[in-house]
Amino acid sequence: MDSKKLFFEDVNVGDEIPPILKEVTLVQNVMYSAATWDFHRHHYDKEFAESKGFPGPFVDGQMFGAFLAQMITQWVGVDGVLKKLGLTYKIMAVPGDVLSCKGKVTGKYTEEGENLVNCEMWIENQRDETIVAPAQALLALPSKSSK
Amino acid sequence: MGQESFITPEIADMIGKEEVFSSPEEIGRATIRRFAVAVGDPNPLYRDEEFARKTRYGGIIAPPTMIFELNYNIGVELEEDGGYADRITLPPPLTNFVRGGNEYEIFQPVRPTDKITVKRKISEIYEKKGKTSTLVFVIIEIRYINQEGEFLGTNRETLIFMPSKGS
Repeated sequence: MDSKKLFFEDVNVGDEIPPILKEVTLVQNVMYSAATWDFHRHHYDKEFAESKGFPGPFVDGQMFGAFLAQMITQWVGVDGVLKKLGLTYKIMAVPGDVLSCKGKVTGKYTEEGENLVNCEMWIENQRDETIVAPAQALLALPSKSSK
Repeated sequence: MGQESFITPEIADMIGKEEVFSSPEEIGRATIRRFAVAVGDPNPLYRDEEFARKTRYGGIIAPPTMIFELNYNIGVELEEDGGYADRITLPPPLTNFVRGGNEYEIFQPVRPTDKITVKRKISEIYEKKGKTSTLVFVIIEIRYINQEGEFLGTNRETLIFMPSKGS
């Protein structure tokens, strides 16, 4: 796959991060429950979720962190490092939703020899409702001068 | 002031107590691959040893947020709702909860050979008026350390508790 590499010099404030689309399904909720050892019925049991006053099973919010991390790592390549990721969850995502993960560069600076980039990101569903916002990432990127 | 606070002395007393879970085994490549498949991330760094060996990491690593998403307290009993018996809960009527946010800080890549110890404590509890009921915010600070004592990352998690419709 990607031998591509994003250098610090190639990034500018205002740049858009190539967005990714993630369709979430009930099957994926079950896979995620199994993979993370989180077996809460919220995420796959319709009757249970409804009995608690939720519209139905919903996606574990932490999955959105994995989605944004995927968007970032696909963009920067193997030599970029995600150092911080912050997420605020707005409304739930439910199976069948198609989620657009988007973001842009909000800052770049060098500190203690590291080339750092700040990004702001968000996730919307197919109805343009905000699922995650704001989300922030701090990345370290390689420099052309040091390679 | 008009309405009584949901934060009883019993709830306030939960702040600051540290709990420690140690994973009995290494994470392993299977956990990493299964996680990557579950979230739909095709990056070969998480599943192709030959590819990963040629990168700066010299071998397979976990997706950056994986350690924060896994549960390590397997073996702890599960309750009727599928949740772990030792998870953070509040007494009735505050039995419904949703996730408010997560802030991850990542100090080094997680490898299949890492054995994870998790140290969890509640740092803050406060309440806010929501649209339909009072919401109780619980801020949890979680630290992740491997068997060498290396600090892998931190997770500051916000859970929002509210009265259950059923109670």
